[in-house]
Amino acid sequence: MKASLIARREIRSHLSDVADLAFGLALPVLLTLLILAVFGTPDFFPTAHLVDADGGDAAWAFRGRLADRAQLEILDADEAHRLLERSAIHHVLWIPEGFGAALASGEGAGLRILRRGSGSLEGQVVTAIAHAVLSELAVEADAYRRVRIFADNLGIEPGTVDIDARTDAFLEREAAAPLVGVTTRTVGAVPDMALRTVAGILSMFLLFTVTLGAVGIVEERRSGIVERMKTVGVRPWDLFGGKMAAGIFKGMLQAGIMLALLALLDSPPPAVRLLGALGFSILALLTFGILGLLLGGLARTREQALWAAILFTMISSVSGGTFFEISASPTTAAIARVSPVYYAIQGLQAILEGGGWSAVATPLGLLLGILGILGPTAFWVFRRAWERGLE
Amino acid sequence: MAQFVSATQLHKSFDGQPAVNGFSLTIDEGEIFGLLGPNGAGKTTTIRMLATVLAPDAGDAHIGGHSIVSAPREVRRIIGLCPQDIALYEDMSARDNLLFFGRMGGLTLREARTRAVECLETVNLTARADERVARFSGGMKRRVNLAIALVNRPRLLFLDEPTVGVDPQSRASIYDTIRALAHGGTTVLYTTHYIEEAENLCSRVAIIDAGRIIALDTPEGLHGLLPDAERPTLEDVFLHLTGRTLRDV
Repeated sequence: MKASLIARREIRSHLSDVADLAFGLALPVLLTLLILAVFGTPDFFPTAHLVDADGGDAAWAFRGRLADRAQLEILDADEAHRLLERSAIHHVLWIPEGFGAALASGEGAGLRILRRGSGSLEGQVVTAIAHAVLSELAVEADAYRRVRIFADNLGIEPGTVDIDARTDAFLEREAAAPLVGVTTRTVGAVPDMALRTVAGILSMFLLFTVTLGAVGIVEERRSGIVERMKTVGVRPWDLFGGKMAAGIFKGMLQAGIMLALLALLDSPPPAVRLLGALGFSILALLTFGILGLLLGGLARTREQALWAAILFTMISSVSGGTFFEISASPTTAAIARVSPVYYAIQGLQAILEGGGWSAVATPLGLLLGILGILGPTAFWVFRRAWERGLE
Repeated sequence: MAQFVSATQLHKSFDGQPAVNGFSLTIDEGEIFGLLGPNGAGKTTTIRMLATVLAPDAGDAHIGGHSIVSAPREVRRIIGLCPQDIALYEDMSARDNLLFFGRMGGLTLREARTRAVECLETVNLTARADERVARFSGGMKRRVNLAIALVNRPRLLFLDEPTVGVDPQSRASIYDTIRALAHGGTTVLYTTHYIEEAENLCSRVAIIDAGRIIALDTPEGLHGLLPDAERPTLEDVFLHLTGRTLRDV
């Protein structure tokens, strides 16, 4: 009863504070819309930044084929250097002068790649595509050259047979039925970048509960409100439960907004998945709320609580996979395994992408396990702080 | 009058440093009892122990017949604490603060509403009852702080320096409220730095230093501790007993 009154007071205060409300509700809306705008298209289509210093037929052929597989951005030499210099782009494909002549003569045409560091993931993809296109062009140029030499050796007069047209036809047949082929088969649910990112950002918002919970309880303690509550007969579990309930409500408001906005997607997840994600968010909020009260019970000052919570949030967000796939780094992947944020993100992704019970069971079980350990520990710490006079 | 508070040999230390060191006293029902002492003398720690916020390391006290050690819940039903800090929600109105702490103290919504009206009247804040406390002056906030301590009809009221930083009008209003409460039978334990407050308000005063009572009597009786002085004030007595060394805590 008292817990619900404490929760109601806090929720009322949250809803009546315009700045608090604007930050709490508008930010998820903005972030979700941004994510949908960035990742709304289903496929990744890299941009190739290209300088064409040759400008010949072969260079145009290279550009044409590249444009089939990547977005082309043509730059002049100065602009390319300037953009690379200030890290606005991370790679440039440079077609040097004499590229076409070298390709036709079989002397070995060179494509230069300028990059900052590793050239970013996009630059590496574009480089691989450029290599493939260049190999195709080299094979074709070699075919034309060899056919011409062969015809010349047979004494076929140039002009009596259109050697290049015949070579074209041969190459087209070869392209239609290549000797070596690659087939692609899609297995399981299609990874959706928008859903994956929403799951990460949603977890980050749920994670704010840690900071809000830790700082909130320390502030009430320092102002004497908790002391006053104690003298009117409030028990530690009343306050603990009230704070938890208020934290869950505020987090659910944000989660509800973010998930509702997913309906803006071209093919939104079914309602049952959105409700499932909302349900899973409660579990995540319980875990994060308890963590917040644990930190609040340990901290003596507002600053201690704030920085401990921020540190936890930062490390958990990055290592837990909020912003990128943690499998990219074995170290972060190992760190992530001890973070409840990781399992929150995994669970939300699995539910939103329709990964099925088997995909949800592991993060759900592990999060429940973490909750089972954290819950009693946090309450024990909270109660000790309460009994020692909340100093 | 019947004895309402009796403390026996209360001790409390923090990190090995004794804050309260063998504190004993009795307070009669309906009495306004003053606790005077320099900074760090142990006044607030004593009040926090008696109000069951802190558990004593040793000793016990009985309030209305209930032990603060073995029956703190019963003690909490009959006390009200007005802490030194303004402990309320500034983003809420004065009335909502009273309703909230009334409900926390176990009042029904109807009872809490009635008490909120009565307590706001008592501290002369009826006209501003529905304004957010954040807009109030320091004196008005102090009066709301006092009203919250009254909302659950306490039989013993702890007032820990309730007039710090308050303008003379608000201070006079708080004095009137305290006198009226005592007249109605409420027992008051009052700590203050302002010696004239203790002199004018309290029927008995204890001077506390280094965690123990060094003098206890009526204000007039304390004057007698300086028989050689001509018309001594309580401040003269206080300085005589506690010394003139600065207490920077």
